[in-house]
Amino acid sequence: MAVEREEGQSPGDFEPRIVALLCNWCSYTGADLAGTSRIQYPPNIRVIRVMCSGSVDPMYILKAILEGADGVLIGGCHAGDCHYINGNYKARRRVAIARRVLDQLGLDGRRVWFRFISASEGRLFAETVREMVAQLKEIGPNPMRDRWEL
Amino acid sequence: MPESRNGMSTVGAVLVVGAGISGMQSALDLAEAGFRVHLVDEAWAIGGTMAQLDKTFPTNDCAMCILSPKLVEAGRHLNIQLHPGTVLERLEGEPGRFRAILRRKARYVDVDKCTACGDCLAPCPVELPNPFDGNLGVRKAIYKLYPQAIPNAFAIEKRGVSPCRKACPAGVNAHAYVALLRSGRIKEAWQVIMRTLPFPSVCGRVCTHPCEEECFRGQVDRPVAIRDLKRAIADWMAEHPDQMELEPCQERLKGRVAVVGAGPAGLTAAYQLARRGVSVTVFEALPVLGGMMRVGIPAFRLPREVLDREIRFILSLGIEVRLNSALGRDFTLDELFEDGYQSIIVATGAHVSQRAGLPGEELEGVFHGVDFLRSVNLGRSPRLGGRVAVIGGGNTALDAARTALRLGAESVCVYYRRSRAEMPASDEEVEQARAEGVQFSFLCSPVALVGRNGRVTQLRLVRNRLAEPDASGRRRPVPVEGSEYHVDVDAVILAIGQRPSSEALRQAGLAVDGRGLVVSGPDGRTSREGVYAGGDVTTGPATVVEAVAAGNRVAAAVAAVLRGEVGEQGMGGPNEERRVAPFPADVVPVPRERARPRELPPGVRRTNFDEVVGGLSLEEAVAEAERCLNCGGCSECLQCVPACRPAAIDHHQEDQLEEIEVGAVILSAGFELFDARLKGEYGFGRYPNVITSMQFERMLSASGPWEGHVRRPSDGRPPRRIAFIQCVGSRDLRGGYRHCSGVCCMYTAKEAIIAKEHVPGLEVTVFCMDVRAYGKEFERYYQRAQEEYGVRYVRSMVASVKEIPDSRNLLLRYSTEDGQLREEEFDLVVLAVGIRPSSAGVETARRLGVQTDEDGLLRTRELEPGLTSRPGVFVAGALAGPKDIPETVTEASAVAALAAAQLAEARGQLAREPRYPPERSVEGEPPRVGVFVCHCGINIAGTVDVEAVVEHARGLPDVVWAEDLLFTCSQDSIALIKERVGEHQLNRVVVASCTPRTHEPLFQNTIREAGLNPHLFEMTNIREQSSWVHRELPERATDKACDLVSMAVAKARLLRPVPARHFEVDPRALVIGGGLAGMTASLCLAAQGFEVYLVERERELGGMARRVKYTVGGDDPSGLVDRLIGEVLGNPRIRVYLNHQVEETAGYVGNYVTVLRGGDDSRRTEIRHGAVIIATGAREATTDQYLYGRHPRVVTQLELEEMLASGKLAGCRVVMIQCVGSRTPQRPYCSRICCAEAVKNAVRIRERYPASSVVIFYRDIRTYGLLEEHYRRARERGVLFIRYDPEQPPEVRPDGDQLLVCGRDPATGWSLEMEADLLVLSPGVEPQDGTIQLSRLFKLPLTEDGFFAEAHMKLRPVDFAADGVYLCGLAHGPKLMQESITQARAAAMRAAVLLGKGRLEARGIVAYVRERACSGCGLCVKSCPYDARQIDPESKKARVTEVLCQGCGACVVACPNGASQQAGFSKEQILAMVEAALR
Amino acid sequence: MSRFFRLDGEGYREKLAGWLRALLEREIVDAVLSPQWTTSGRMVVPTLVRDPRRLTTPDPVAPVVSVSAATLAARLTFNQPQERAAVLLRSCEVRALVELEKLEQADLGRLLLVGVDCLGTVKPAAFAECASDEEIHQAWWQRGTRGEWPLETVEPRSACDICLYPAPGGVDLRLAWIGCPELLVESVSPRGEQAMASLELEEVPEPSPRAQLLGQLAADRRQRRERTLEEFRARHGQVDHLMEMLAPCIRCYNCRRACPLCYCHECVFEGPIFRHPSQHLHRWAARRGIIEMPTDTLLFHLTRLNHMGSSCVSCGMCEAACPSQLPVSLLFAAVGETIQQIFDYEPGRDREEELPLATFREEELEPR
Repeated sequence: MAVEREEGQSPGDFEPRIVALLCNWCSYTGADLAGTSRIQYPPNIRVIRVMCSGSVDPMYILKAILEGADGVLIGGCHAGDCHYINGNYKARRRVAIARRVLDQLGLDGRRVWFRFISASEGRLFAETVREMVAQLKEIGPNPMRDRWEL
Repeated sequence: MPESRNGMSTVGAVLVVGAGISGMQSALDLAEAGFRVHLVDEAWAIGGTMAQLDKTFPTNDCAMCILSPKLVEAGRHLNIQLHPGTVLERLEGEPGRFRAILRRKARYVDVDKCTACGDCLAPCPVELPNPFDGNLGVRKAIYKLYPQAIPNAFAIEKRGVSPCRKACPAGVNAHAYVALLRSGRIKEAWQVIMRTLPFPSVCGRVCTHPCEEECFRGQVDRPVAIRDLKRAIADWMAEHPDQMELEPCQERLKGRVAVVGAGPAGLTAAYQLARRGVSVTVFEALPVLGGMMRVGIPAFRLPREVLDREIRFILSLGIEVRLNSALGRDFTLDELFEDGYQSIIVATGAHVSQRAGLPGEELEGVFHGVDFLRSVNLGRSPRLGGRVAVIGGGNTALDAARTALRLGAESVCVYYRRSRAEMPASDEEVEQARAEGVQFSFLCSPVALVGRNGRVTQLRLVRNRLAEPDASGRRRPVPVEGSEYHVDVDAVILAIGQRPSSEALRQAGLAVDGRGLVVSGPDGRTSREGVYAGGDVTTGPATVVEAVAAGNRVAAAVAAVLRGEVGEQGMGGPNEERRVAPFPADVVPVPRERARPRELPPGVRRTNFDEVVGGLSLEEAVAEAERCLNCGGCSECLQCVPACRPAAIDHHQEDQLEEIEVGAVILSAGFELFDARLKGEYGFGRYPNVITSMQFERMLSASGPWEGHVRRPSDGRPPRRIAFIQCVGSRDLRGGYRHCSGVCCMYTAKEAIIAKEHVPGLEVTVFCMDVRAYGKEFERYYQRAQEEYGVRYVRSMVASVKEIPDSRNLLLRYSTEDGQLREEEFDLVVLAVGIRPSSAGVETARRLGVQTDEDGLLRTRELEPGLTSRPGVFVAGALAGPKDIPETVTEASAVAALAAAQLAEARGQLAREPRYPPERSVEGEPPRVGVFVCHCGINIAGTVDVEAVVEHARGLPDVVWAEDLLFTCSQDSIALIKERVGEHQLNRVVVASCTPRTHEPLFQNTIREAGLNPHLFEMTNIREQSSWVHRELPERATDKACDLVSMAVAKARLLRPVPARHFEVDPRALVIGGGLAGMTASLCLAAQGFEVYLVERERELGGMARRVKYTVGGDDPSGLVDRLIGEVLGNPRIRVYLNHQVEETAGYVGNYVTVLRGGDDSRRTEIRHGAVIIATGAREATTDQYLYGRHPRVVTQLELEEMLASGKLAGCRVVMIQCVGSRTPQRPYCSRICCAEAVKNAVRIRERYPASSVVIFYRDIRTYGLLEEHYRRARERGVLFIRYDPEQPPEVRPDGDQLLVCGRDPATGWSLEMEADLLVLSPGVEPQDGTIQLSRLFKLPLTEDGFFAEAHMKLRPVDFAADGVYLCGLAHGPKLMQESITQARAAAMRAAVLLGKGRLEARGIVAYVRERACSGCGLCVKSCPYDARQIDPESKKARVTEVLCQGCGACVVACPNGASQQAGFSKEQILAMVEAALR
Repeated sequence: MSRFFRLDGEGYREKLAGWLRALLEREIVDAVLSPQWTTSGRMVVPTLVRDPRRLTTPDPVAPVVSVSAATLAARLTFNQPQERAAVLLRSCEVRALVELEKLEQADLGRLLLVGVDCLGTVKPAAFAECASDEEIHQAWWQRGTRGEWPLETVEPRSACDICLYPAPGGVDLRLAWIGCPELLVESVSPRGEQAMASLELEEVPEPSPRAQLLGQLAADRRQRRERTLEEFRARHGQVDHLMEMLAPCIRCYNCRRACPLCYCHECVFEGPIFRHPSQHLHRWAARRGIIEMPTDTLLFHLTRLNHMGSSCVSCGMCEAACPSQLPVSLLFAAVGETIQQIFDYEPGRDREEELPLATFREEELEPR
């Protein structure tokens, strides 16, 4: 418990908010598995279930960032495992573009993560959230959170 | 109705016996395929054992989570009729048209009325061990089997009448009032007593308590002090007179009744009648009321004020009293009739003392028992003198003796003619008397009284001996000649009996017998009409409670007359006709002293008439009540009846017989667990910290008795070191089960893993023989248990378990593999108990005339799985042999296929179509969102503040209703949601509970039933994705749950209805692979009336099965294969394409177009079909280990088999090596069949070639389930089994023409070297060539090992995640031939369910195009992986082929301007969620 | 395979008019899409000409573009018309047209693509001011053929300033004048070859300075482009500056209407998704305390970058159309370039090259 408190305190008790878009078949199921396995992870993430990572519109990512999300996680099936054959590859390209756009404009593409997490990788899901929270704490709060000139 | 061959019509219904996962699967398959299903189970809910499981291996899925949707589906299916609590009694008729006679057990709760609200739980005072929790926890006598139970209704557990209640002459329900007292409801307890006993205080003191004699607690230690408890209740009530309120009486009678005699019988009768509104007058000869209670029982036993109080209460019911009115002296019966009394009850008692007929009986100083007591009790104390002799052994004698002491006698001695043992007085009174100084002299009879001056001075006695028992059952005293003696006395009290005053009775016109007793019938009718008699006057002297019983009986008879009934009636009388409950074997009583009421010190009490025995305090009484074992189950206190608002409870229900017509029967009653008490050496049942695996399972379960906390039963502390003992009751010829139970190794691994996750730092040791991780993905799981979780495996059977007294830790004694004896201490021991066929299932089978083997198994012939000895009766699941869930589910589908084939002509005959109310249009309505937040018991509510989430939801835009539900998926909640939709005109529904992946369809259907389009539903997961993963952070978990609800509501507000669309299903199937599985599946489909294209890439059918020459059980597969080939080729519905392969395929479930290429001319054939079955098999793995391919004497098992079949065995010293290439980092799985294969060949070698020797090097012998008997046979035939470690495998060297095999014997640690003529390798099974290509072609997933991956390991073993494609045979993973056959049939059944439908409903989440905005750029077309999109050449707009659309949404993203959208996942919905997530 | 032909006639306008008329008269094409001087003689606008006699003042060399001819050319191909048209396009227009074809918005099958050398254009208003000045025109022609920016007083549009493609590629014919002594037609495709075949024009060798001059021009422009974009990125790669830059945006959508690649009939931001009901705006403002109105400005630009960034040909039409003078052209150039780099994609380079958003590979990119 002591360890967790320390983590929470630096820097400045900042708890990043993460919006996650997870594909129904793999990553969402993986997140469920983390649940059924009772693998604990930080509660910083708000999950939106989509059918496929390939249906994640970059606009969602941009919207989240502009609305002040400190991070956006897109979860899809592993290479070759996509329930919809190749949606995960599509997602990968789109996320790459969105990250590039954000990077170019000072919005820090590192806030956007795309990960392959399978239905059986509850542990990986939890670890991903943990890692992401840790990295976002280093990056610091999204400046857009307090901006209104949108 | 279709006519069958014999002219009888076939019934399109199937009876499935056993509603576990097997029965449910059969039922669902058949119901979906168009048959009516009767699903029968002995239990009150479906679900079977799986409902009890915490997790399932190897995926660690929560068992209930994956089961629950099936439960709901089975429970809701229109074509499945559930028959809970029902057994199949008889089966008549013939296949195709059976008549089944069902017995429905009394449930005592009307399922249709019960809303499962649970209001009955609080009032129920009876807690019983909960067998669902392995008896670790308790449940009420009224209970629901488990929270998600279907049907979702309560039932009452009645085990028979509790012995105490049965023993009570007055039928007082001791069990009920003890139970109520225990739960602190004194008034209710008193009311229960007052139903049949208006003298609780009296009987609480002086009752002879026959109840206690029968109390089963007496078999444990000492009976429950029932009488003291009654007294405690009554005395408490006396102190709380405001509480004294009888239960409302159900009936009101009119009439006038005279009761003659105000003793316990008369007053009881008066009470019972007065309660019912009868006008009663009591006539009493004495100046006081109470009869013998007052004039017979001394005040030190029954204080007068106590008696007065109770009589006062009785009289307060409006009873008129005439004292000093004696029958015959002051009135006659005729006069009473003349006065208008319709009935007269005579209960004048037996107040006349029996004369002893002794010389000197008339002397002064000689008294008679009751006369003496009466005098004293009426205040006239006779002069006794110093030495008093009392003759007699009853309570009157003792009362007289003790009264004498109190009157000042210096010494009192009781003389009794028999011994102490025969003395009728109660033990406690004897003890009290002794303590007070009363002396006893046994085995002596008075012969004369001698007096001086007319006053007695001497008592002459003779000594007796006891002879054989007399009519009363007591040994008869016989005087010993010449043993006469005398004692000097000042007074003698003769207390040898009483009788009624018969003269007056006779004069009243009543028939009186020789003993002076009124002659009466069982209900009290006398010889004179309208006159009833009861109590001592009809029986002679008896106890208060017997008098009360008589009063009840007579009152009942009179009441019946007043009611106008004829004949004899009972009213709350003894439960003669009802069975006494058996000793409650499930109770493990905690030893506890019986409560002892305080007594006045003898020195004090003998000087006065104060009450000797004190009462128990309420706390003492409650504690004493806790000793009750609740033998009867339900105590019938009836508290539940008024508590149940829907009036669903009926304690008078009885079993009912029902007859139904069915075409086929499936037996799937499942298994039961081995009774671990039979293995006494492990101490189960004696040591609290030795538990069974099922108990441990429940302990791990979040819904279990301890909510998932692992604790030691003895002290509730978390264990540090757990030992699992494997094979308890399995692989055991001594009292256990001979077979391997097939599941224990894996469930132990699972329980070990989960336990380690629950308890940090826990050490787990598993004591086992072989670890049988033979199933798909099992080996990895087992490896994980060891490597990742650090579970320690010790290869040893534990010899004994002993408890260490202070710590209650357990000392395990075992010998290690190398023969050393060890002892090791653990603080919790889990016995991995084996499974055996359910005895109820076996009994049902036997009643049906279905053959079972000596183990009770419904063993089927090896290559004819599913068939029992009775045609038309099939078997699936563990009844036919131990097996895991996927095999069970597969079998269930397979036998469904057999039944469906048999009844093919009647398909659809009795099926009903679902009907939904017309869909309400919500067009133009503003959103009205209803939010339902689930507690999931404590699963969510334990972490997330559900009320806060509801409160939050109430504040969200457009939310017009929000509430929390205990289990949102329970039937009552479902009904409630529907109600709410109507009540609040909801047009969007949000459920915040668990994962939508399993539960969304249920809720969608719910709102559909409420008249809403199913797509107006949104679900959010606050369990798996909040409460379960943020347990330590409840506030933030609640916060997150609130956000998730906000997001769901934000989306829900924007949901639009999606109209249902249908598409046709091509009823033909494509089966790929012409081996055993493919042929079986094809035939199975053809038998159900479907056309099949069977594609085989070889030039002939048969596949791998052709190489198998005999099965492990000795069956002949070649015969089967030849027969199948013949049938396939001869079947007009099957079109066979040999030498063909699938080249390309397009389409979707129900509508495939597949191109085959093959034949000698490489022809291209296009076929259309609705389903695909993948049955492409596997192959023997290749190896280059152990000189294979480099030495002629090294062969594989298959090659050996061919040698054996052809009779050409090269040499007779055979060495086999198992796991060649299997269970290695390169090929981590177990090939499952090699052990059986090796054992099979080894046995054959030993049997054919007696001079041969066979040595098998193995890692674990995995002859799971019934295969164990072949392993045993091999050992009996002298096959030598030597285990090797993978680090030290045997070494093989060529030795000229021969081979030299070196190994190490782990038992001795010695190196072995042996010459071999033949080395046989088990290289295992590998995926077939072309598997990867096929998987790509049909877009099917593969496992890491390269076999096809089914949709779900446990519950969808032959389905793929994509609809329309099914899997069977070795393509799924290694398996035995019979398993392939079963799986092939299962796949055929699953396909038949689809093909038989005719049309399917399109997915609700299909994409659509907003044409106005579409620019026809085609990005959507390019992004669609299913060719479901085109650009219309005319309009240049994109178009969606809905049936092809799988709803991935790729097109939606591809479209830059939102012209392309997806129902249920539109851009604005997701954007709204994003916004809501970031409030 | 490139061949140069000399045209008949005096000045470059006459040569051109004659040739275009010949194309029509010989029925090599049914129509010509070409910029022509307006009757007033103060502006050059695109015209679609069927009657050769009305081809009086074609002038694709005049340094002005009012609307991207790519859009116009694309429109000519809707619904697979029977008519063949010769379309005169600058490099950026050709590249945009190629992208539009990939987006099913154009069918190049019936078009004769005639590329025109271009040193850059000025804003229409500036052009209108100096259009009639014959001297300037002479200077244009004379300095332009040497590859020099001819106008001392008028700056080229910023997009043109950093354009890497003075001579358009991927065409059938090219009107070549940079590094040429006179206006020449260069045939660069079989179809161009075929078109020229019947005209019996005099073939000449490639003018010697042309290739070198074009190479030099491209190199200079590349340097300038890199410098310009680097500066832009350095400044606007920070949130504050980004916001500052976009703050004057009035959400007129002119940028997207002017963009040849924003082919959507209705922009998603003008569609129902972003037509927020009033309650939504209030809730939104309540949630954040304050929101800028109109909303979604930043999201609009960022989304457009996501949608168009990979196909942006850097024509600068957006910026020209912006009433608030936002440097959107540089924004797209800067961001678009980095997006295109991910996929090694150059919009308009090759008709066969797949759009980055229409193709996906198993082995590429990291999953993060």
